[in-house]
Amino acid sequence: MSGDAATGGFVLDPDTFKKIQPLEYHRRFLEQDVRADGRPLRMFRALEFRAVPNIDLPALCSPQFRPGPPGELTQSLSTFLEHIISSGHIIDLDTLCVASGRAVWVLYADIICLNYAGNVLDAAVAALMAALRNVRLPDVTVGEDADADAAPVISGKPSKPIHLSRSLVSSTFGVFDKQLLLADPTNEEEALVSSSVSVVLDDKDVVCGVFKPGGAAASKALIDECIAAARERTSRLVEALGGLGK
Amino acid sequence: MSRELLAPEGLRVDGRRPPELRRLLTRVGLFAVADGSAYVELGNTKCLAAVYGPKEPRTQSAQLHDRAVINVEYNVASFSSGERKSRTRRDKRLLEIASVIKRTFEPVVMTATFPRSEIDIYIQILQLDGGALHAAINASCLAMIDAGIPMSDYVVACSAGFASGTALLDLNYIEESAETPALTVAMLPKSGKLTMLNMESRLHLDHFKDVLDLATEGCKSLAESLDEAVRKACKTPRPI
Repeated sequence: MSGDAATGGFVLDPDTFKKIQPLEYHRRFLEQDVRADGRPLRMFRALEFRAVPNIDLPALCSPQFRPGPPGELTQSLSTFLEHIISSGHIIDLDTLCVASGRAVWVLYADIICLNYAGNVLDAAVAALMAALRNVRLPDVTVGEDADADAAPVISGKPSKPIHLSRSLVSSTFGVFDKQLLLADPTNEEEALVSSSVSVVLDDKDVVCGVFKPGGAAASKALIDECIAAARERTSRLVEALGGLGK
Repeated sequence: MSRELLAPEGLRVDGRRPPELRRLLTRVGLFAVADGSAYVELGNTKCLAAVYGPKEPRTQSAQLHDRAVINVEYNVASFSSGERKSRTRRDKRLLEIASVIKRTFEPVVMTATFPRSEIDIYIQILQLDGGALHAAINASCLAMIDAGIPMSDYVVACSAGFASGTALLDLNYIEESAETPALTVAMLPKSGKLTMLNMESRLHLDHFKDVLDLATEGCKSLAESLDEAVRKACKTPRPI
């Protein structure tokens, strides 16, 4: 903001001016046909494209989970999944847009663990990717100008799959006795390992997430070892499946 | 009624005859971590039950000195029906169904054998196409047997309704949601006694007997299938 709030050599910085005179602050912008966040007057903010993963570890799946509200593990896994799909840019967000600025799809992914035998994150990532690959969105049209407020209408055209720009594979390792790496720990091993490291890689060897929920400190060399092992596993999987995007 | 539930040829919306059950598919003992588990598929309704116990109660206050306590948790997956519904575990409807199932099993399970302990029954509905309650009871019964918990008899449940002047067995979602009076019955097949009757709609007394008779016939038929499933499961080794 170009401040002509200068009086007698005294210049008020924009943040202070905004606090003291909010109305005048915005008015100065609007006089220049622009808004405080840089948008033109009639421009809507971009609608949020979302995919919301939600993991459920019900008491049904293991004696270690109690009935009741979701525990810390459940919540941290859900958040981690949400981060890797949003920051990993898995979904081509343009395919989730129905009409720019008006209607978008929100994908909810409900993941329920039915039998907990350790390493739920790898299973959840695999299930999530498989489910995303299976999504078919109906073709939807939104009315123009006058009908803009009307509900979107499903047209008769065949439904379309969403475009996944990359596919993720999660590989989890338990660290036993602070040095021994156990790939894909079972629930018995999970109780005994000093910490666990999950490495999420895409099919082009890009690390999309690393999850080490506390536990004993691990040396950098050990983390590198995990990443190397995860990379090897991912490339073998990609090879076996002939490309994960298919 | 907005839609005819019984075609003039005498067939229902899904092509069944009025006294016909849906296809039943059962799997017993499918999980290694649970003490007992079972999966029941009634047509398109899919239900999973796991039993843990008898075991030490989680809280001291939850125990009874002369018998075991049965806890039931009933969950419906948010993806189980056409529209996504996320239900909280404190949903009153879910709690009520859990309580009905608990009270259905209490008189049948020999709880006095395990004083100061608890038995947990966890039920997860994976797909919903009507008849969730009786699918859940049948799955729980198989899971209890798989866990080796002594019961005086099987607990077999079935539903029946009344539409277009005819009693219909084992209602599906379309029939249930068309405001058809629906009766769910849980029966002990050996003695023929009923442990649970559940009907939340209006039905003329003249028709009630027909509906009840049909539901108990359905229970008897299901009891044979469940018995067969248990016998088959006993002969196959459990997963490790």
